[in-house]
Amino acid sequence: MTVTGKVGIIGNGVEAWLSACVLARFISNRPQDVIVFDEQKPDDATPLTARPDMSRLHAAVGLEPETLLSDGQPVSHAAWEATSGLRIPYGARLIALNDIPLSQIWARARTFGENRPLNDFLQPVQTHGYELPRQAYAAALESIAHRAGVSTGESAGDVDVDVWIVASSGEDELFGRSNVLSVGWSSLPHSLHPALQLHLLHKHLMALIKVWPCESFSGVEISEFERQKAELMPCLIDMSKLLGNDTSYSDIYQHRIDVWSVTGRIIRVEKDPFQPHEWMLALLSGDHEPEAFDRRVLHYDNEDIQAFLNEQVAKRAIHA
Amino acid sequence: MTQAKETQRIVIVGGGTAGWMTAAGLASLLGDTGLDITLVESEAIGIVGVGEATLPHLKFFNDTIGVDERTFMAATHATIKLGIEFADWGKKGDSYIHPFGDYGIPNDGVGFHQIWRKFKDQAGRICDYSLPVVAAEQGRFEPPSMTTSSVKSTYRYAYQFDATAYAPFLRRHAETRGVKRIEGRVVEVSQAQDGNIQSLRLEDGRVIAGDLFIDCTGFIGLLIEKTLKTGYDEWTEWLPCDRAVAVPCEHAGPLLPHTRATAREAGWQWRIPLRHRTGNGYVYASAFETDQNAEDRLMNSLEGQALADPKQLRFVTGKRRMLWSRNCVSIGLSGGFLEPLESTSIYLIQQGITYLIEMFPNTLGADTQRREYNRLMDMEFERIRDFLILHYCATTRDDTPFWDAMRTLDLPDSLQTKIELFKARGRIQVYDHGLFLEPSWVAVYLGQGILPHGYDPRVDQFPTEDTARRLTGLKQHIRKAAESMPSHARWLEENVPTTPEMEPIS
Repeated sequence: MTVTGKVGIIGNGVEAWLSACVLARFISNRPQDVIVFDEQKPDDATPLTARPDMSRLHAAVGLEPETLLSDGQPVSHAAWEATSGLRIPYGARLIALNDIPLSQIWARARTFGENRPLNDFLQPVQTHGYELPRQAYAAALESIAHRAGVSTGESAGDVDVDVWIVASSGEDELFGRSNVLSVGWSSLPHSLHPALQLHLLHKHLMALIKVWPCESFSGVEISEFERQKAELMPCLIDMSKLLGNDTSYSDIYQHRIDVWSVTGRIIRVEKDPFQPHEWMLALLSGDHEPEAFDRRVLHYDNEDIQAFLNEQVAKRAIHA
Repeated sequence: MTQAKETQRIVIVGGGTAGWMTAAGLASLLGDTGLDITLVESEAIGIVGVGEATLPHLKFFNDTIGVDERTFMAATHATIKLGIEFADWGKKGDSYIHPFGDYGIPNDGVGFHQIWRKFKDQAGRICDYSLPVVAAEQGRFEPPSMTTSSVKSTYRYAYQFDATAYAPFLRRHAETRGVKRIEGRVVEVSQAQDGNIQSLRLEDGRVIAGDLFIDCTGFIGLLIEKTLKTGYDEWTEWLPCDRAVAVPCEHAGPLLPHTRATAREAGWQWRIPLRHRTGNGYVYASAFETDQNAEDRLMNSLEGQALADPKQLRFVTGKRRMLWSRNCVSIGLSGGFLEPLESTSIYLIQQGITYLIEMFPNTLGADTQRREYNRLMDMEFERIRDFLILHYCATTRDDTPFWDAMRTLDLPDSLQTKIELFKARGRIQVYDHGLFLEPSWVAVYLGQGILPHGYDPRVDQFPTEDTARRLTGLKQHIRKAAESMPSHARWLEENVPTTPEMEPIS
């Protein structure tokens, strides 16, 4: 398949090298035409979080995250660190009672004295993500990229490329050109919760693959890429904001909280990477409590509800 | 502090498909939670009886409210629908089926149509990789398998039914669950100082008070528009068909498990096979066709003897600016209409009911619920709109003024981008919520002659010979699976009684 010629990647560490691995794997049949200009800035020390859905991409580029496990320091987790006091499981089932979500049953139970947290009733699902030390992860990706044939460059100004992929905050002069596409968290105008950064990069790169043209980028592909990037942001910003890491504004943020408060429901938003239970636990951690519940719960009396909730606790104990 | 008043009295105005679906839905799911549900209708006002053809979602609705499928099918003379055949749309002589199911199997997150595109020259028609298409073409049906690894689990089905029989059927269901029916014509609607609807006065002087009103009065929008003056967003610039003429006729030929939509001079004609007759109609744009010409074209094209006089309908495509305004929710034609091309009317009624139950306001006021309901319904309408427009604009036809105008239509930006992305590399703008997903867009694009220039680069990671061999195997597997099904007619004979035993409506 015909592919755009040379691709220059400007960025740092994981953002630059994962972009290179993905482009070399999926886009270019001449990996040597993918050139990385690694800025080699000092990197943040916090680990990056790979959500479970990233394992497919890692497998495709040839990375086994297990190889990054440091001695005696397992970094595979069934939950991600939302705040210092809150770990949110990636997978959990909210068992429904005749199609009525468990969260609605729980919200009703609270009105007659149930004081156990929602988390106590979630059924675990076997899935896991990784917390990846940035430097080791970047080094592993760099090694894979080199093995695939990706080149490195010293100075971006000296090389003529067809498309620039920028994963950096310091390349403002490049933006505005028609052949520059930004990926990753570094180019965002605001901060993002550390546990969501890698997810953002992952989705940017997947979007890039899907819009990559047969010949050269036109306005349609670029605007579609930007549309997909924009579509990702409301949920990531709102989750960051709920967890106290973002102060930027999202139109839907207050509405999300209002709907939860008055109906106990999580709103449907496009490209929401989080499962309902993740939103619920984040909202509850911010003291946003549901004030009402689905009217269908009124079909059940207090004893039925208590029995149902106790059954969930028992099931959870069996799983454990 | 004043306690907000509880929502207790629900008043549904209008007793057509939307009215009785709403009544049955609310009564079945919320009925014994202290709600008092009343439906006001007048036999003197006819019903439109929207949607003789439906989408698979209706089965879920019926199941949820506890309707037995075979009783329902018998009562409404229903047949099975595996998709819609579109004839003469891309160009005259073309035909394809938009199926209720998948094409092939996705491979490692890459859409099947991308793989098919690479191997197109040796792979043949993409339709041959869709079991519902192959089964529909052969006139066969059996219910989908629950075994997810089976190719027979890759489709769903809907119904073709007599819509005028569905409302009476649901009426029985709703009334046995406590819905009160009041016969009478609404002559006055009273509003409180805050603008909320307070009560209705009937022709005979009775006054019906309520907390939440559901407007199911059809195109007229008695509450949502005539009273609350909510406003209507017209989409006629993109969907100019504004009339329909409909007539049933006697059957001819085999009982096919699909609806047919044939492009005509100034619109399109439907053919919907029911057990006891065939439904026919011509949807057209009055700017390009007179009513008399439309009626003549329809009557001259019937496959059998007409069973009634042709009935004319007028509509304006678009939607209400707010489907939920103050304490009034508009469901059905009062909320909007997107023409029947993809059988979406009943689906939109069903979504309206579903979202209302999810957002049900336990107390009056409910600004948040109203905003969320309108957000969700706007999304449903807009996504269906773009998909419908695609059918008209993806054409090379210029043989009539109507088709020439549609071919050169100024498209909404959202749709223009979608088409260009598909043309380039078969990319479908997928969304998580809304009705028509990737296989539907693939069906129409490819069916109407839009072939992507390239394909997803990830396809090249699959070994060429192995993939080609798998495609051949899959096509044979699907053909054999279709051939193992009984004919649609036989399945109906064996599973659904033809004469419903129904209690008369008291």
